[in-house]
Amino acid sequence: MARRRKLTPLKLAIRAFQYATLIFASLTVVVPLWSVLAGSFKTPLEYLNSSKSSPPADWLNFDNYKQVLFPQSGLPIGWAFANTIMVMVCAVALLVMFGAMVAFVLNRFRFPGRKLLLGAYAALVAVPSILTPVSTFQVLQFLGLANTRWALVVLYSGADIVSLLIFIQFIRSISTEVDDSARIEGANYFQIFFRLILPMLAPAIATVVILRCVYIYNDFVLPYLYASKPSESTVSMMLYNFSGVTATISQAVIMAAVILVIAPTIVGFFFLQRYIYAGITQGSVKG
Amino acid sequence: MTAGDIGIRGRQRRPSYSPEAQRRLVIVTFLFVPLVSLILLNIYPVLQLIWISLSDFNGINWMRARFIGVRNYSDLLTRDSTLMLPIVNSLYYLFGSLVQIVLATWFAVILDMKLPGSRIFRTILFLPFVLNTVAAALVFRHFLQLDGTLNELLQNVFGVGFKIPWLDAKQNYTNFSLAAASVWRYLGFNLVVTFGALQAIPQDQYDAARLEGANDWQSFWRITFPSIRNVLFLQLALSVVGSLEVFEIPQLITNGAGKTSTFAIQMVQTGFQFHRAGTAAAMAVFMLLIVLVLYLVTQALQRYFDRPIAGASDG
Repeated sequence: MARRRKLTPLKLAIRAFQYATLIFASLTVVVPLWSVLAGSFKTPLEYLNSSKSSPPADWLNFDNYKQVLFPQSGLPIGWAFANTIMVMVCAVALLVMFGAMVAFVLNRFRFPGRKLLLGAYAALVAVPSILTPVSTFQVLQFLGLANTRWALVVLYSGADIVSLLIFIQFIRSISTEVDDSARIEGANYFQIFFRLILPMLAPAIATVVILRCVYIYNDFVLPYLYASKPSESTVSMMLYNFSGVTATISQAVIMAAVILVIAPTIVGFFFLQRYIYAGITQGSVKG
Repeated sequence: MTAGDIGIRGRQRRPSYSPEAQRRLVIVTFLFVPLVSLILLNIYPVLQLIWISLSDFNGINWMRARFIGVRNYSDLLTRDSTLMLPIVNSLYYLFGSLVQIVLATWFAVILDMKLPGSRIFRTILFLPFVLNTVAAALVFRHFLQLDGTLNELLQNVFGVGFKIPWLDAKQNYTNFSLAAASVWRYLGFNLVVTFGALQAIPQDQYDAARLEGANDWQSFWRITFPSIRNVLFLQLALSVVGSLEVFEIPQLITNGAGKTSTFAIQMVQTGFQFHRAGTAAAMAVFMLLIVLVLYLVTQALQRYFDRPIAGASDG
């Protein structure tokens, strides 16, 4: 055992190699981001003439950011942020509410069709949203939601197997004795769910909220397919439309838009990373 | 855990109205909205997809849609076969996913050694996964474009005298660049999943192995690998399916142009730009069938290894 503590030249070489790979991989993450951050503070002329990886002449040059926040024409990025937050809040609230209800019913009761329902939710994993746009669009049009933010609310709040499994797993860990004693006190099932189970689900709810918010904020496919109008745009679509008009806007301005979009996530990520890791581990081990 | 017997036990108490009625009421009210949503947004679209695939629906006017049998399918195999061609590009992404799983496992094992600084490395490597999809694509495009950061670094640091067109949509190798973008973005996800599995391995197994005189290499293959085999298999299965459905990265970085199109991009274009909803639906059904077969194969293999991985049923 003592032998293992000593670092032989071979062990040292292995360790050095391990660190080298980590550092190399980290550089591939950091360098592109650094280059974009630096570019976002450069004037259009400076952007063209300077090295892509050099720092800007003036870190306080916010002109590019001003152009994104207060554009001469078109909607400001704040509009897209408002849309995104609206979609996120509504969809996640609905998903948590209905997800917890379904999990409660599936875990606490046996009823005909229960297995079928579980199977249907599980089978959804095999039907990704990218394969059904032709028919989903028809349904949304029928509901009068096509090309609106509300289409996104409805789609994001719909069945999601990972959230459901996280809820079921958690409810399973709450003893049914809790329900029993509440029933003895005269509580009905609705009271048991809303007053007892739902508050106890808080940790699972936190996980689901964080995972879904990350997903909704970052998703491109659904906004692209069902809410591509500028007035309905989430940040993804806004950035997509913005990056398409390179003829009239300097690349440096697009860099500023990129930084504005990713800044909130990076800040949030540093505070919440522990929950994100836990959520992914839970969701994937089961799902 | 059969919690259904609450109802039976409750019957002995003093219910305001029958526990059985209450039980039914709660099941119906709690499931109503989710069921409507499930049927309307998940089940019905798949059924309608099958119907559309048997018609010449243009995506706009139902009145002019006619039932044409399996002609969309037979056309896809004959005169429309070029529409199916982009499916070959999935191989680039599959290759990327394999590299990604190997790299993620390598990094997860290193991070699991709890070396100094490992938390910072995990944060950095995971970061691309939480970035907005469009922003991440723009970051990568900025990095790889002709006068982008990478070519500049190659020139300044390694003295490469010419610029490499990493993102030239006319070239097949560009798919490798796009697959690399995919690895860049999703590596952290596999890393965290595998890392989670590694942390579940009890430390005393390693201690015991060490007492027996096993070296790191032996410990990995005898203890670590068998413990994470299921998680790796699951990731592999997801990668195969995922590489067939690639959409965002090529769409955002090269606009899916030229040789960088994928099956999903081609399908969306066929349906929405060329207004051939029938053909697009047939493509989708075709892909759904492939995914279904892959899913069944995965299940069979899983049973073959006799170790349940995705325990989707609850207790």
